[in-house]
Amino acid sequence: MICRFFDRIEGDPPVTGMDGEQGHVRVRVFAALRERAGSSELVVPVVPGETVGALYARLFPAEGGPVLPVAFVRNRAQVGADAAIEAGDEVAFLPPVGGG
Amino acid sequence: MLAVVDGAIDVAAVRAAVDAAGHGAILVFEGVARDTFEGRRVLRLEYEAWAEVAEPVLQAIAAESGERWPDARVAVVHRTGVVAIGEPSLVIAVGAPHRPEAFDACRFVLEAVKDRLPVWKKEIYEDGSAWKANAPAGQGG
Repeated sequence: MICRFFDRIEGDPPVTGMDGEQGHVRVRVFAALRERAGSSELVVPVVPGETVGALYARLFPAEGGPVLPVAFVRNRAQVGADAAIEAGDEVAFLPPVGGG
Repeated sequence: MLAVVDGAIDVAAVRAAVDAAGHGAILVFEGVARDTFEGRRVLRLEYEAWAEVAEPVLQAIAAESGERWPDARVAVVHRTGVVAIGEPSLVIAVGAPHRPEAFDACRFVLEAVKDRLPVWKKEIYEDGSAWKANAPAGQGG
């Protein structure tokens, strides 16, 4: 089951600042993706015109591990794979959740 | 009380958070680490959360419960980190004037937590480990 609550969340906005001005995005990853990335947070340069789906494919290519049905979250709101990324954004890739 | 915590859950405190003189029903649900999964022996569970988002999600779930069952008071605590077999990873307490809304609100909150809370579970076996996603409601998990 893909997480699907972020359209209703009004939490604190993500922290942005110098990284944005320098053309980077913060990427938050969890569970199997965190283990694959080796870190829970990545700071990566923005590629002009890149979508969140393309960023996911760039950071987690299919040949490097299992492809998970992740939910895409941009600035704390769930978005589709075709959502555009801008410098300073926070992007999160959420594997299927397992709380309880 | 709507929280994601790193240590053991104080079950009595979760219950106390929904106690009220007008409540004729108090339910406490504990989701507990089980020692087997499909025949494999589970040694322990490890949970991680997107902590700064998980608590707003709990608040949203509690607010939805409050809209549907205005007289039911809800408390939810989810644990992160290593959880030993037999220990609770999730505690939900619901207090209400009568049992129907208590059971209904508790089930609603439980299923919403399993569906939406940004928490991930790793089962550690004798011979490996696996990240486990929740199944849709009514299909185990």
